[in-house]
Amino acid sequence: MVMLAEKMRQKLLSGSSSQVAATNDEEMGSKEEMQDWLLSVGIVSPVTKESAGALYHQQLSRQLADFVKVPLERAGGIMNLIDIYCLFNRARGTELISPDDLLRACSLWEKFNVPVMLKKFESGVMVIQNKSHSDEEVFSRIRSLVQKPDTLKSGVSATDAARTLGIAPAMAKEHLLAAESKGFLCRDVSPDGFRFFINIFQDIDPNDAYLVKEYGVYDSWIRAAIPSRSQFVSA
Amino acid sequence: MQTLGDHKLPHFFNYPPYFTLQPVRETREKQIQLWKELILDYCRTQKVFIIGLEEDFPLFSNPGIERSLNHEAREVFLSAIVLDGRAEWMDKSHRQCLILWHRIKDWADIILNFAKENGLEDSVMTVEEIRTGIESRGTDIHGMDRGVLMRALKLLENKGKLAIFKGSSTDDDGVKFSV
Repeated sequence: MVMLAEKMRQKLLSGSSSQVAATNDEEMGSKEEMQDWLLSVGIVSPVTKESAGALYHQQLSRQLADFVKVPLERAGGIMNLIDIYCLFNRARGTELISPDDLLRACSLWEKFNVPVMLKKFESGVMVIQNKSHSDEEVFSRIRSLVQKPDTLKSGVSATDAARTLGIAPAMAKEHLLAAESKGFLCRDVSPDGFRFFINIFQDIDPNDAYLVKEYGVYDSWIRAAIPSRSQFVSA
Repeated sequence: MQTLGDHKLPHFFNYPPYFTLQPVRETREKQIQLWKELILDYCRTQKVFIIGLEEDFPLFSNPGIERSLNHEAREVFLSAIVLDGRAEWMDKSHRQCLILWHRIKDWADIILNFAKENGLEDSVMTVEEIRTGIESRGTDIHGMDRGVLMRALKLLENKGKLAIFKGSSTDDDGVKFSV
């Protein structure tokens, strides 16, 4: 397969860079077929270190920005960098790019006016996201999600958040962790799994633990989570 | 309100994250503060002096929400109380923790007041009588941990407020107040 692809590629390259026209119809046909095949997988012609020379990373960067549009949309606006790496290389078929090339190409996006960006979460996970999929936007959607009556009471899992935000669970988890580190959420780890709740500690006065400020987050949580305020449970 | 024994529990006792040690520093500090207060409060009303980390201390779990503190969390919260001087580890491996919901010097003051209020100046009483006698009923002294009581009495002895004398058995150990 690789040899075949290499042969095809050589033919294509020699066809495009030389001034001599295709020698016969058959060769023309196969070249067109090849281009059709490449088009169908989304690559017009692979940018290679050979064809682009010193501008390699810049051209790769633009090609990458174009390429990620569709998969990113399908993934809800945010994708793990590793997934992009696999998708992109699979589409290229040959002349695979290295992780370093990918990283450099993404880092160059800052310089161009492209609608996508590279982002690194505190956990170290790197993602590509639509500029419109801003942190503030996600944050405010998480805010409303965790303050619904049922989520006040039972919290949200990464899967729950993924469903609401329309993104992959792994990406949702990163956003939840980010909200947690901002002091907005608290985690609940149990045999039931890993869930996040709105942080009520910030609303509790340590010097008066029995005081409930009216209309505060603690108050909302109590209303949702504690059906009756006069339960008696003896030890 | 929800109670444990006859201790009124705050509403956040039903908040599942209360039972998971929080990783974010500021959140954890808040959580530690709330646990410190709750533990001291509970021990005071229920007259608990010793908490065994591996035992079923009722405050460390809430069966209603199916959550309980893991070992690490228990140690972190109790260590915070130790750091405040309101508790002491009884062993190196941190399996038992002595809770001083009154500090030793505060116990000493309480005992001194007790002696004054009951006209015990210049009189003699056994340690057991102080701890379990009629006079101490209704006060924090009644039923208190004997070890803690002895430490408070020794403190008072050093201040010249009383003299401790050993009896033929520990039941006969007594004090003579000279308040």
